[in-house]
Amino acid sequence: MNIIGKDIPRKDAELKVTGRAKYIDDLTFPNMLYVKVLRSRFPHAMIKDIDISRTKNNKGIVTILTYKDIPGVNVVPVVLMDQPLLAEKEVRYIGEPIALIAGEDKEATEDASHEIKVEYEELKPIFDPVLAMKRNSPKIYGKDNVFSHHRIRRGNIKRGFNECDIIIEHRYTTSYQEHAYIETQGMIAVPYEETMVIYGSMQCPFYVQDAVSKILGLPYNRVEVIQTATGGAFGGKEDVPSLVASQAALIAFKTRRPAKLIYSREEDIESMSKRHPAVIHYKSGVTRDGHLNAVEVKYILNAGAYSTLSPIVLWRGTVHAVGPYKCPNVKVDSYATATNTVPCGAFRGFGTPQITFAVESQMDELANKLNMDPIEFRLKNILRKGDRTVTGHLIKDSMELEKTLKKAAQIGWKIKKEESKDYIKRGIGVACNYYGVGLGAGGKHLSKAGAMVSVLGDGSVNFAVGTTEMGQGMETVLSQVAASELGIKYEKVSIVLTDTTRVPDSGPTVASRATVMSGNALIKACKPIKKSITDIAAKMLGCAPSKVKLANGFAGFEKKRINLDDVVSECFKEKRIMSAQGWYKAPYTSWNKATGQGKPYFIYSTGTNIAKVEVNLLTGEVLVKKIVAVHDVGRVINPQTAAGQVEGGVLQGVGYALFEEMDSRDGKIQNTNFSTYILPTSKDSPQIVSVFVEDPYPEGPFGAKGLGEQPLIGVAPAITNAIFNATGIRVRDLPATPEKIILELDSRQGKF
Amino acid sequence: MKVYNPKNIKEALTYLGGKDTHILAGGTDLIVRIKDRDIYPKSIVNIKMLHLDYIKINGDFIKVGALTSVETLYRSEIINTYAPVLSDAVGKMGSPQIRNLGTIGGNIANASPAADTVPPLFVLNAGITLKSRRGKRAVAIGEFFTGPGENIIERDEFITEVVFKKMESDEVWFFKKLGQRKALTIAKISLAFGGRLSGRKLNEVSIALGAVASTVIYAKRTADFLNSKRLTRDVIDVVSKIIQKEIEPITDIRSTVEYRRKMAGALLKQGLLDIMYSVIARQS
Ligand SMILES: Cc1cc2nc3c(=O)[nH]c(=O)nc-3n(C[C@H](O)[C@H](O)[C@H](O)COP(=O)(O)OP(=O)(O)OC[C@H]3O[C@@H](n4cnc5c(N)ncnc54)[C@H](O)[C@@H]3O)c2cc1C
Repeated sequence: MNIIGKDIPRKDAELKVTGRAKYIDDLTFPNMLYVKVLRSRFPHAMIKDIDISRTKNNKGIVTILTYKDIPGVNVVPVVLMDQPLLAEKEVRYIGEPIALIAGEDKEATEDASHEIKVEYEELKPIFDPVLAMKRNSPKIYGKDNVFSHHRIRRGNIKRGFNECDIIIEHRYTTSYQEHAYIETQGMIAVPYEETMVIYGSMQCPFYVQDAVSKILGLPYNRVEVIQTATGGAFGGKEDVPSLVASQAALIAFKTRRPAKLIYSREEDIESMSKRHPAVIHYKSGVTRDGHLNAVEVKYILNAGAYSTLSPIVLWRGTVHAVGPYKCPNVKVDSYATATNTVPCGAFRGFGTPQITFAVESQMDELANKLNMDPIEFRLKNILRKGDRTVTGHLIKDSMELEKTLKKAAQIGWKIKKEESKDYIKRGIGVACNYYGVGLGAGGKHLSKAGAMVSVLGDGSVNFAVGTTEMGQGMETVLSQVAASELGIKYEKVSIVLTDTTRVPDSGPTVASRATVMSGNALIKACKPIKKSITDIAAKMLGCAPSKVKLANGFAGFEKKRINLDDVVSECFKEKRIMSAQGWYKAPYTSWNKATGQGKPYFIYSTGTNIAKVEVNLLTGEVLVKKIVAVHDVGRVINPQTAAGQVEGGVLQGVGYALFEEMDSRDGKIQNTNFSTYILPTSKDSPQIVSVFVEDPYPEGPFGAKGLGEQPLIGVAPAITNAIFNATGIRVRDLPATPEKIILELDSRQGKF
Repeated sequence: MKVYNPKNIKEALTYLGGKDTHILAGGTDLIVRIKDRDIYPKSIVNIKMLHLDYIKINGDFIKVGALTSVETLYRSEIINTYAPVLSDAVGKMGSPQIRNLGTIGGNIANASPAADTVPPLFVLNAGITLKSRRGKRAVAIGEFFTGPGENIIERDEFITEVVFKKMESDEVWFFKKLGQRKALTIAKISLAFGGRLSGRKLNEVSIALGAVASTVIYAKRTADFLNSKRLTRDVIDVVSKIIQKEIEPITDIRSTVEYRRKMAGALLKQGLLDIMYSVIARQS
C-alpha cells in the first residue's frame, strides 16, 4: 500500500520530455501513401457532381475515393447512426468529408485537393440552435431538428415558485470551446494479410475498431487498433478519431498499401468536435431563509449537423442542471438541436461546464439578493451524505462538498478590496460543482473494463488495459495500483500500448472513469497472481500464506524478508499462474426517461473553486490573480498528477471564462488556428492553489473516484462571480471579453 | 522557388527587382504567408548574412541595423536607456521564439497596422534607410506606410537601417498595447506617447496609434491639444475624448470598432493618469 498517495514520477515523463515518445506522425511504413480529405465548402448543399477526371491522373496521385467505394456501410457509428463517413448527395456543414485523395507525397495530395471541382446546389442553411426548432426552419434532422430531448420532473414546480420569496430568471449563453490538443488528429492504416491494423492518436480504441469494421465490412477480429502516444485529447479524441481512422483505412483497404492521414490544424479546427455552444434559460427561487425551493431550466445545445455524442452530452448536462444542491421542485427540459455547423461532441466536462456556469451565476445572484454571503448561502443548500439529488438519488458514500467549500473559504475567502490605482477593482467569487463519475445510466452497456497482468520470470510486470493514456497520467496511476497490489517495485511495472487484441472491449476512456474502472479491473487481475506469489513466499518464509506481507519488492514475515524476484522465479519453477485477466463491471445505475428520476451515476466527485480577480475599469480587462481549487476525489493516488490535472483544468477554465471564443459566421469558423483562437498562456495563468479533501469511496481502487474533468467545470462561474463582486457587472455570455465588460460599464455611465 | 544567400549588400541588391522576389529576414511573417498560399514567391533573397545586426550610438543618434532581432533590441542597454518607449514595446512582442527570429526591418517592412515597433518609432520620429543599386535614401517613418501591408519600398530596394534621436531625461513616454491576452498576442490597439514635461506642463507631444486605421498613424490633433497644457484630471478627460475622433478603426476577428475607439481614449487616459500620479507623488 505504501506507494499509493505518493508523488511517484510519471512513467511517461522522460520519454515525452526527451522527444523519444512515438507519436503517430513519427511513424512511417514502407510504401506508405498520404491521404487528404476533400471537404465541403458549403454549410448546406446538394452535391451535383464531383469532377476528378483531371486530377486523378496528376503526378503522384494514386487514387481518389468517394462514398461509392465504401465496401461496408457508410456510417460512423456513435449513438444515432446518422453521420456518413463520406457525404453522398447532401452536405450539411462546412468541412464535411466528400472524397479521399491518396498520393505518394503530401504535396501531391494537397495540390490535388485544391484542383478537384465539386459542383454544388446550395440549400437554405440553419445556424441558430433555437431557431432550428421552429416549425418553418429548414430541416436537417427529423421533423423538428431535435436530436435528443431529456427531462427532469420533481415535486410541483408551480407550487414551488409560489412558495418562494425571491425568484430570478435569466438567459445565459456559452461559446464553442476548442480542445486545442497539441497533437492534431492522425492515423495510419496498415493492411497486414487479412487484418487492417490501425495506429493512431485516440481515446477509445474500441470505438475505432467498431467504425473501421463497419466501413470496411470486416469482422472485429480483422481490425486491430493500437493507440500510439497521444498528445492531448480532452474529449476531442473520443468519437472523431473513428472518422480519421476510417478515412485512412478505406484508402489502405482499396490500395493494399499503408495510408497515413494527419490533419492540419486548420482542418482539425474546422471539422472536428468541440464543446457545444449553449443557450440556457434559468429560473430559480429561494425562500427568505435562503433555501433553494424551485428551479426551472431550459437547456439547448447546438449539436451541429450530426448527432455524434450530443444525446449523452445533453443527458449529463441535464442530470447536473441544478448543481450539487438540494431542491424539492424541479423542471428541466433540454434539447440538442441540429444546425448546419460542425458537429460538437465530448469535451472535458461533457455538457456540465455550460450548465454549471448558469447554475452558479444564479446561486451567486440569489445570495446577493438575499444579502447573504455566497458561501453561507451554499452551505444551506449543498448535498451531503443522506440527501437526495434532484434526480432522487440518495447519496450514501463519499460526498465531501461541504469540506471542499469550507476548506476553500478558509484559504481564499478574503480579499483586500482596494488597489492603489483607482481604475483597478478587485473582487472574489465562488462556485461549487459535482460530477458523476463514469458513464452512468447514459452509457450502461459500456460500463465495464478489462485488464491483463503478466508477471514475467525476472519479476518485471507487464499490464494492459482497455483505457488509454492521453497525458492525464493513467499509466502512472495504474502502475502504482498494480505495483501496490502485487508488492512489486513501481519501477518494474510497465503498461503495454493499448491494443484491441490484448484486452476485451472496456468501453471508452472518458467520463473520468479510467482510474476507477481500469483500476478495479487491474486489482482483480492481480488477485490470482498475488495468490501464487503469497503461497510460494509462505513456503519460502515458513509461515501461513495469510501472514505474508508483500511490499516494495519484498515478501516478509515478522522480521524475515526475501526478495520478490526470488519468489517469482520460484513461482515459475512451480508452474504457478503468473498471468491473468481481470474484469470489472460498474455498480448499478438507473434512469427514468419520462421523469428524469433515478440513480444516474454510481458516485460523484465534488469541488469548490474560489477566484480572485482584478478588473481594469478603463479597458475592461480581467486579470485572474488566484484560483483556490479544492476537490474531493475519494482518495488521491498520486498527488502530483492530481495537482497537474487541477492546474491544467483551471487554465482551460480561465480560457473558457475569458478568452476562448469561436467566431462562426454563416457556418464557417473564422478562427482556424491559434493566432486567432486565443488560449491562455503561462502569463495569463493565475496563482493556482490546489487542495484535496479525501473521503475514500469504498468501491474505488484504494478509495479513488475520478478527477479528470472536474477541475475545469467550476472555474468560469467563479471568475464571473468575482467580476460581479468587483464591479457589479453580471456577465451572462461567455467568454467575458473586455469588449462585453466595457459595453456594460458604459451603459452604467460609471466614473471612468 | 529559388533561394539566394548573398554575402554582402552589393550582391543582395543584384537579386532584387523581380515581381515575385521576396526578402527573407526572420521569416516570421513571410513563411506564414507562403504557407497560407497568400503569396507564391518565385525567388527569395535571404539577407541574414549581411551583417545588419547592430545597435550603435552616433552622437545624438542611435542606429539600428535592419536585421537586429526583437530580442536583441529588448536586451539592449542602449535601447533601454535612450529609447525606452521602443524597449517597452519590443518586450510585449510575440514569444521568446518569435522575438529571437523576428527583426525590426521585417516588422517595419511587413507594414502591419498592428506592428509593435512602429508606434514607438513614430514617436521617436525615426528615419528608415533604404538601399538599391540606384543608391541610398532615407524616409521618415511617418511617410513610410501607404496601407495595410503596403509601403513605399521599391522592388529593387530594401531596408538597411533605422535611425532615431536619443530620448532625453526630461522626456516622458509610455507604450500601451491591448491584446487578447497577456503574451503572444497581436495588438487590438496600441498607443505610443512621447513628450516633454516641465512641472506639470506638457510640450512637444507626439502620439502614435496602432491597429486603429489602415496604417499606424499620428494623432496630431490630440497631440496639439496637449501641447503647453497642464496635466489635470479635466484635461485628461477631455483629451481622451478628442483622440477617439481622430481614428478610423474597424471590426475584425480581434475586436470591434466601438471597443477600439473607446480604448484609444482609455489607453491615453491610463498613461497620462499614471504620469500625473507620479508627478504628484514626486512633488509631495
Ligand atoms: C506567433 C507570432 C507572433 C507574433 N507576434 C507579434 C507581436 O506581438 N507584435 C508584432 O508586431 N508582430 C508579431 N508577429 C509578426 C512578426 O513576428 C514581426 O512582424 C517580425 O518583426 C517580422 O520580422 P521578420 O524578420 O520575421 O520578417 P520576415 O517574415 O522575414 O519579413 C516580413 C516582410 O518584410 C519583408 N522584409 C523583411 N526584412 C526586410 C528588409 N530589411 N527590407 C525590406 N523588406 C524586408 C519581407 O520580404 C516580408 O515581406 C508575430 C508573428 C508570429 C508568427
